[in-house]
Amino acid sequence: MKKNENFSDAELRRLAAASSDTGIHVPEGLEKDLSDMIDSMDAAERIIAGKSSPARRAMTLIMSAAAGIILVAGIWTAVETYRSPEDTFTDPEQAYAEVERVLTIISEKMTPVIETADNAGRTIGKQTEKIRNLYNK
Amino acid sequence: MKRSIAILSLLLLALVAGAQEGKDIYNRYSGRKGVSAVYISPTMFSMIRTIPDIQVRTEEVNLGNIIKTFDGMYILDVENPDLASELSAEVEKMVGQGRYELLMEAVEEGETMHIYIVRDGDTVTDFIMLVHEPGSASVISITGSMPMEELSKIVASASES
Repeated sequence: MKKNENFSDAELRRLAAASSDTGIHVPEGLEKDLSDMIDSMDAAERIIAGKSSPARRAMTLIMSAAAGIILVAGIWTAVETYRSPEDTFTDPEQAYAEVERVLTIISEKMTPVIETADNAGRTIGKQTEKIRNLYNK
Repeated sequence: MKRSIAILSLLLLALVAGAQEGKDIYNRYSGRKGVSAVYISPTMFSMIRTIPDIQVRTEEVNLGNIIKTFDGMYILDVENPDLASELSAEVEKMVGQGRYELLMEAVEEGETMHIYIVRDGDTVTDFIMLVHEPGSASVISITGSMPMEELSKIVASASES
C-alpha cells in the first residue's frame, strides 16, 4: 500500500483492517457514485483553471453583444409601449364635442341590439300569455 | 453582473408583455396609412370637467355626468382591410386574456360589434367597443370610473333615439 504523509502508520493499518472487514455493509452503487463525483469535480476544476481559447473569447464577445442588443431593444419597446400619445385636441370644447360624437356612435351601434332584445321580449311575452290563457280555460 | 442583466431583461419582458393594453395598440397603429386616430388624455378630460353646464344633444338623457367620469379615450378607425383584420385580432387577443367581460355582441350583414368592459364592483373602469366590417375596423376604448348606472344611460339614449 502506498504511504500517505497525511496519515500515520497506525491509522493506515486501521483503514486497511476496516476495508477488509466483510461485516461492514457497503451501500450498493456507492463506489460508482464516488467515482462519478470525483470525475465531475475534476471536470469542473479543469473548466475553472483552463485558459479560454480565442474561439471561446470570440463567442463570449458575440454573446455579450447579442445580450446588449436585446436589452436595448427591450428598453426601446418598453419606452414605446408606455409613451403617452399626443392629445388630438388642444381645445377642451372640441374634445368634448368629439366625446359626444363617440357616445352617439356607441348609442347608435347599441340600438339594433336593444331593438332585437325588445322584440324578443315582446314575442316571449305574447307566447307566455297564450300559454297562460290555455291553462286558465 | 450577468445575473443582474438576465433578471433585468426578464423583468423588462414581463413588463412589456403585461402592457398590451389600449395605449400600446393605439401607439402602434396611429400614424399608419389608412388609420384615423383620436386620443383624449386624462389632462384634457380634467379640462372638460371644468366646462360649465355640460349638455348633450340628446334632450331626454344628459350624458354630461358620464363624460365627467372618463379619464382617457382612444379611437382607431382602420380602412385598410389587412390592417383592420390585424387590429381586430389584436383587440380580441387583449380582451381574451381574462380581464374583460363581454357586455354586448351584435352580428348584422357581415358587421360584427362587440362591447367589452372591465368592472370593479358597480364601476366600469374600461370600456371597449370593437366594430369589424369587411375591409374596415373601428375600436373605441374609454377608461375611467363609470358607474354602471351612468353607463346604462347610453343604452337608454339608444332606445330613445
